[in-house]
Parts: sequence; structure tokens; C-alpha cells
Amino acid sequence: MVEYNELIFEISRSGRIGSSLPESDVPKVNLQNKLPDHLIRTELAELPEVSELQLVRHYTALSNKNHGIDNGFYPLGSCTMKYNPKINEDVARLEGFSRIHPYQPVETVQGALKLLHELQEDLAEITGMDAVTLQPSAGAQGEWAGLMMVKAYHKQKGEKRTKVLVPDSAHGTNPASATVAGFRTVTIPSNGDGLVDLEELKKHVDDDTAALMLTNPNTLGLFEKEIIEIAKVVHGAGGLLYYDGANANAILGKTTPGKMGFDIVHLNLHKTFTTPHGGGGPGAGPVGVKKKLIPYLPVPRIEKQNDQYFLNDNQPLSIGRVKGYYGNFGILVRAYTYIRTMGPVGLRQVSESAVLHANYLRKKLEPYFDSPFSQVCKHEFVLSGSRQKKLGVRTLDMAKRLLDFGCHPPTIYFPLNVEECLMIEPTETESKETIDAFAEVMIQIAKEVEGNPDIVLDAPHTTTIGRLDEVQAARKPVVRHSKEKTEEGKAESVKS
Amino acid sequence: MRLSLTESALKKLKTVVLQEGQLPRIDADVAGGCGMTVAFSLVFDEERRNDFILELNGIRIRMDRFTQRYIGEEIQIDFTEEKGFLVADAFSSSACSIDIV
Amino acid sequence: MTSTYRYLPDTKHDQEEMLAALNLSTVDELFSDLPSDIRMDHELNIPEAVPEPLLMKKMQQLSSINKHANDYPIFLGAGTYDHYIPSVVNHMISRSEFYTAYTPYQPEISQGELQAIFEFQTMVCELTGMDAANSSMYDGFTSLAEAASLAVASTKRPRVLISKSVHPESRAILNTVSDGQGYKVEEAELNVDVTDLKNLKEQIDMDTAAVIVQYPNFFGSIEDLQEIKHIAQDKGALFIVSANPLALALLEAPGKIGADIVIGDMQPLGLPMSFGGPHCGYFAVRKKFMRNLPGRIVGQTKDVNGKRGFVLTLQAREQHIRRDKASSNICSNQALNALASSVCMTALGKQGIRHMAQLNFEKADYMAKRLEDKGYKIKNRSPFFNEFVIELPTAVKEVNHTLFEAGIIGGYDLEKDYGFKNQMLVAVTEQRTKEEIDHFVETLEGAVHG
Repeated sequence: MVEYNELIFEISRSGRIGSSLPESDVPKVNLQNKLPDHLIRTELAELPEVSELQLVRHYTALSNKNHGIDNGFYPLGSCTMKYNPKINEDVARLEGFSRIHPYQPVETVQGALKLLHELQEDLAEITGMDAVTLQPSAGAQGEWAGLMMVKAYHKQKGEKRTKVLVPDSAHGTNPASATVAGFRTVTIPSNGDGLVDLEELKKHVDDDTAALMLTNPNTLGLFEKEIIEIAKVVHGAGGLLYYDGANANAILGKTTPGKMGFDIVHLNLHKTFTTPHGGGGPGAGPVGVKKKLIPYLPVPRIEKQNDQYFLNDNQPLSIGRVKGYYGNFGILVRAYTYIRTMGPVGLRQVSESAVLHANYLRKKLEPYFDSPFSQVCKHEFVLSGSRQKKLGVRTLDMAKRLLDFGCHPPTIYFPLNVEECLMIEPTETESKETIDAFAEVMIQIAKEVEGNPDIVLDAPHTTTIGRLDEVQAARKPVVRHSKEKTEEGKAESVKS
Repeated sequence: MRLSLTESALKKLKTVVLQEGQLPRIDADVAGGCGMTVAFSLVFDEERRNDFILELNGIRIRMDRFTQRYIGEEIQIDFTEEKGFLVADAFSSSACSIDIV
Repeated sequence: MTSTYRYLPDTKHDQEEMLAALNLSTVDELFSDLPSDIRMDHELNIPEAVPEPLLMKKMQQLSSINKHANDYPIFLGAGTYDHYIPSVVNHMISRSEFYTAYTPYQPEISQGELQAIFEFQTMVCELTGMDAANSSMYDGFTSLAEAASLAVASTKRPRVLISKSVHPESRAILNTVSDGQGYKVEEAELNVDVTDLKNLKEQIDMDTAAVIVQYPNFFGSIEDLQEIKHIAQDKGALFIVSANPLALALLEAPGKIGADIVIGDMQPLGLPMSFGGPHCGYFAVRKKFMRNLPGRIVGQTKDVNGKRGFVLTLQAREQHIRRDKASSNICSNQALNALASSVCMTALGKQGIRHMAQLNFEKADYMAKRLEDKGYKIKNRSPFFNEFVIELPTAVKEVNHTLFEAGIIGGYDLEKDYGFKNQMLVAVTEQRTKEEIDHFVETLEGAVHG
């Protein structure tokens, strides 16, 4: 068979259909009798017209051009690409969860509210916080919601603090979230060990400091062991500590952000708690807070009284709503199912295995790549491709070469403070055999860079498509298919 | 690929004192994280294997294969006192990066 | 032994080998950099692990406590609707090559996802009549707030004007977002069931960045976009329309009427209600604003051999580059739900979506007529799509209770958000049969007169 490369619009033929709806069982209504002409659609939207089998073949063909965790190793640092359990998918699809409406009377959705309430309590325990909101739909939204609470907290105390401190290794969303919450960010440099430079921090902390945002372990996979001192410095000046939970996979059952001194935490349920990444979403980014911040949590709060669950809107100091309804419920159901599957001992072993795997893999790769930090790492680690750069091969080239081995590359060029960075997170759900095999491939690539660089520079060789011209895509954007090829004023779509 | 130097860039390049083995280089800097962006800069460093040399107005400029792949057809190098050397066809400062003001 | 957990493959032997390679004897040594004061001295206080068969049973029991739309015909809408989802949708999104992948950073092994999103963007453009759409947003409500922020940033004006006929949750989220970004939100009054155009004209001025309306609005009524467009245009304000994508199969595309930004939620097309999420916001703009689109956008390009391919594009604006100059911090999207929606739109097709929309329109019309025949007052003066407001002689809560006893989930009580006493917003989708509608009307009669 020839390779399938069609757009769904290109296989469309007038008169075909992929669904069957019933005929109307109520009297016909003529639109013209109801609506003014200028509000009636005359030109139908050009949606595809295909049969059901054509539809299935099309999307199956597309899925075959996609790499997911189920296809192979996916050590994308900071993204925690661990196995997405199948029972979670089945549970989220139960009709009692998927077929309920958010505005049903609370008496009719007690099961859903009970699940949410229990999840709030579990996440509070796991993070060492006093209360949790499940509303934010992603990590970035959680950060923003958390910072809005920081703002409300200071405002209530009669202070207007404008500065949020962020280490140079922070996730890019941290400063962006601070900006959209109305703060300015100040970057704190790392020291030679890849950790927050305490002396630099002290220089920047003052009575204008609203909060410090920190990931611990940080994005280099290193534990900020001076965290108690850091917390003292920030709290001493009246600031708050925000924990970016992107790296929570390293600490489950070992410590909590609460113990470390943090006041606010967001978790990425699509990282640590196995909900699928879905090709970019949907995720969920619950936020936990210490007692003093509870009044500012988004509404509605999910509460329990006399074994009945209800929604509480009456929170005068709340920052308001951050997301429709009660958050991404279907994702929350999956995370709840996972937590019940693992229990307390299982979750602790998750972090222990994740950390063991990362250290083991780093040890295997260290002779072949520059390893900027020598101390023990947590669930992920960074290597630098600077040795290979001198040989004319970049980290991106090596990443593309990995594709030839059926492996998704690590996160590359992040964090920004490591040259030609490779950030590797093997996760606990991978077997030792897989980790060993990945190490072999990386070592082979390192050797190719020395002896046969062209095979790396021209990679990938085995994928359905070669390296793409991202420059053209950015300069002459074509972001939709269009029947009219180059009609003026429309984004054109050129068939190649 | 067509390279041009503004007058100020040419003037500055002629005055730069290079250490043994160093030449100016147009280099792609990649920034990653949530996605990936390529920007170009002018640096002064040692040779890399597979380097390619551009020559213009007596100035020799290096570029590695990776950078060649990502850089556009027209490259202009400018120099200002405040910002130093600018490689004008930077993929992140061209059409794709009009700021949200 | 970690191997008692089915997601943890390490055997005792594996663990020993890895520790030996590290010259360590216990895993705990890997945590020696955690100060002792902050280490846990006990296990987490959460329920013990449950084996799969027992957990499945437990979750089924928990879910069955909820009264769901398969057992109870549902007349609730207000932003989330019970529409038919073709079986193919769940089958396609259950392909784990899609759902276990991350954002397509490596385009060579993500062409499936990238092409699917490119097709989604195209379908959104087709329905809305706009030039460009992004790969999706968290939901329709947050999408609206992002649109307002975009308008404020691009017009450099400090206020947005939103109609009270826009969904209360959209307005609530907009208030939170504008508070962070430091712009003002004003609300235009209602003229019964639609935006009061006179009040809109009074409130708009040269400081207004955008006028925001919903189409059909929260009460189901179809706003006259043409009139509102003129009012916005006169003052140079952007025109933002929050539209139900299914209704757009019948209603003139906002793009054709001159909208600058069209946003909304794809939930009516292929996404389960799921207690309110995850749904899927969409965001479409005129060409002029293409480079201001928040979030991710997929673009078409070629590979080294000239073959068509797709990549994430326009990324330079992303927050990791302009780390602290962002007007949006959105990093992810709802790719899987966008895919579900694309599959649904493909299954319905050009003709099917029109048919589905027509069914909604006719069934709502039928139900409203039946109620009027019984002497109830329908509040909507303007034409409505698949929702309308009925005035009841008693409290909505009581009526809903009676309906529930009769096996029906009734409509939305407008008292809390609008102070409209005894007024119920009723949604009638293609899922409601004539029998169910008649049953509702008869039960209501019994409740009120019985």
C-alpha cells in the first residue's frame, strides 16, 4: 500500500456521511420564519464528508505517525512521562462520572463530590498543606491562581508587594505566570552547584518581595538542601514561598513542600499522578495552601458536613473563579484512581525508584557526556552536549538521532543555564532493561559523533518524515487548510 | 544564502582583536523548555569540525552545519553600541516574534 | 519488594544491581541530601493500596451514587450540553499513540497529532468564519478571558465591556484575570433576554478595548451581532463573540459579520459533560491578530525532501523566551479533546452538523410552544437556539425536585446569578425525544397545579 498522507479534507466527497442522526419527531420549523436573514447561515461550514470507515482509517493512520509512552521510552525531563494506567481510563468513562452535568443538584452528585473531597484531602497530605483547590486545569494555571492568592494575601494585610523572585533554572511558565498575575519578576542566579545562591537571594529579598517561586528538586534534578534557610530568608521579610510541583515525583512520601516551609503548592496531576498528557492536554493543576491562605482559595470550595458534600461559594476574600465549574473532573477521577492503586507505601516507592533510575542512568552516561553537577540527583538529571558541540554536532542533532532507535528524546536546551542541555527523566515505571538499552543507544550516538558524525547530522533516517523546515513554518505561517489556494486576504494552503 | 554587513558592523569587525585560532562565528542558539526556538548571534570562538567559512569584505566568518540548516536565505549583521552584534535574520526576531504589546 | 506494584517493574535483584553500580547499599542514601528535619518519619496518611478488581468495584459503586443522563433525561444546559457523541469518537481518542503522547515537540514522530490539530484549526475556522485558530484552550470561559486580555494588549485601551447575557462563569473568570493584569471590566445591562443596545452605546467609549457578547447568549437568545458590531466599530473597539460551535451550523458565522475574535467551547461537539471538565476552549481570530494568538498553533511546512509536514509554529512568543513579558501564560492545550471534537465534526460532516443543529432548534421550539399552550410564559423575546427561559409560578428548586421524582433532571435556576425568581433556563438538545419533552411538560403541570 502507498503511504497515506492525506488531509481529512482531501478525502472528502460530497454526499458521504460518517454518522446517523434520527429524523425529527417534532414539527419542522422554518428558520426564515424565526430569524432575520442576516443571522441565518447560508454557506455551510466545509466540514469533511467521509464514511465511518474512512474516518477510522484516517485517524488510525494518523495515530501510527505518533509516538506515545505506550510506543516506547519517553525520558522527557521535567514532563514525567510515566505509564498511564488503563484502569484510570475505564473509571473516568463510567457513566456515573462522564454523563453527569456540573449544575445538577448536589444531592444527585454526591459520589462525584465525595471523590473530589477525598482527593483534596489526599493531595493536602501528600504536599503537607492544609487545604487544596482542584480547579486549575494545568500547572501554569495553578501557578497563576497561586500567585493571585499571594497578591490577595498581601493586599489583605494592607501591603502592595510587587516582586516575585524566580531562580534562573525555573520553568519558563513561572515568570510568565507572575507577569499575568501583575507582578514583576527578579531572577536569582544559581551557584556552581546548580542551587539557589543564598547570598544572592538575600540581596534581593526585601519588603517588596511577594514570593519566591521554587521547584525542589529543581529543574537540574538537584535538591535545594538549603531550603530551610531559604524559607527563613523569604519568610523573614514577610514574603511567601511558592512550590512548583512539576518535580513532585521525586519526593512522594519522603518529604513534603509543607515540611520544607512552602506556603503554596501546585501539582501537575498529568506528571506525578499518571493522568495522560493527551498530546498536550487536558491536564490538571490543583493548588494546596497553608492555613493562612485558605480564605483566598478559588470558589466554589467543595466541603463536607454531616456526611453530605456541598459547594461553598461564600468566601468573601476568595480570589474568585479561575476555571469553569470544578476543574477538569475527568482528569481528577484518574488521579484519584491512581492514588488508590498505589497507597502510601506504593507512592513512596514511586519516588525511590524514580530517583534510583535517574542516578543509575546518569552513572552509565557520565563517561560519554559532560555532567555539570556531581552530587546525587533526584528523579531527573542534566547532561551537557558541549563536548559534542566542539565536534560540530549539536544536542538537537543527537536528539533527532535517538528517533531512529524508537526513543523519544529527552528535553533539550532547558534549563537555559546549561549549554546544549539534555534533561533526562527515566521515571519509575521503566524497567532496568529499558534504561540499559537507552544507555547503550546514547553511548553509540556519542561514539558516532566522534567517528561518523554525518549519520547524526542527517538524522532521523527511519521516521515517516525528515527534518522539517521550521523556519518556513514560522515565517510564512499556514495554519489552516483552504480550498481556495491563494485567495488574497486568506491564509493560503499550498499542496506540496 | 546571502550575507551582508552594515557599515557599523564591518567597522567593528575590523577592529576586533582575535586570539589565536579564533574567528567570528554566526551561531544558532537554541532555547527549549515548552517548545523550541532558534536565535542567531555573532560570537568569537575556535573552529568546530564541519565548519563552513563565509568571506565578505575581507572578513572570514564561521558557521557550523547546524546553524546553516536553520538560518534563512538573507542574513544581515549589524552592530550597535548598546546591543553589540545583531544577526538580523534571527528566527525569533523576524516575522514570527512580533511581540504581544 | 517493589514488584508487588504493577506499575513498578524493579525486582529486588534489579535494585541491588543499580545500587551496586552506584556504590550504594540502600535507596535511602540517595535521599541523604534532604535535611533530616524535613524528612517524613512515617508513611503518608492516605488509604492503603487497593488491588485492581476491588478498586474497579469500589469506583463503580462510587460512580453509581451519581444520577446520570443515561437514566435521567436531562434538561440542563447553561454552557454544558447533553449531545450525542458518535461511538467512533471514543475509539479514536483511545488510541494510546494519541493519548499517551506529550505536546508534539519532536515533529518527526508526532505528525499524527500535529496533522490532527491542523485539521482541528481548519474546522474551527470553517465554523466561525475566521482566518486562524489555535490548537485549543482550557475551556470556553478561560478562552474568553484570554480574548479580553489580547484586546487590551493590542488596542492599549484599559477597559472591556461585556454583556450581562454572557455566561456568569465567563464573567467571574474574566474578573479574576483582569484583576491580575490590571484592566477594568464593565458590564452592559440586559434588555429582558438580550444585550441592551442603548445601554451598550452609553457605556462604550474610546477607552473600550472590546465589546464581548455570547451567541446564542446565556438565555439561549440569539443576539443581533450586526447591530453590536456597528456599535463596537464606531468606537474602534474589538468585537469578541463567544459562540456555541453547534449553533454556528445554523447561525451566520461571526467572522462573516465582522467579529475580530471568536471563542467558545467545543463541548457540544464530541465531549462528555463529565461534571464540567475537561472540555475544550477554542480561539479564532482575523488574520490581523494571527500572531497574537495565545497558546500553541500548528503550521504546515515541508521536510528536507519537500514532503508536506506539520510543526508547532509561532513559538517565539512563548513565555519561556519572553519569560517576563507575557500577556498569557498558557503553555498546554486540550489536544486530546480537540481531537475528540475533530473526530465528532468529521463524523457529523458538512450536512450532519446542520441536521443536528436543526434538531436542537426544532425541539426547543416544540417544547416552548407546548409550554406556552399550557399557559406558561416564555421570557425570551428574541429567537432562541436550544435553550429558553420559562417563568414558573413556584420556586425552581421545588419544581426540579418534582421533576426529579418523575425521573427528569430539570433546568437551571436563574435566581442565584441574576436574581430572577422562579425562572428556569431549559435546554433541549437532539437527545431529548418528543416523549421526554411531553413528559416534562405534563410533570410540570402536575407539580404546579397538583
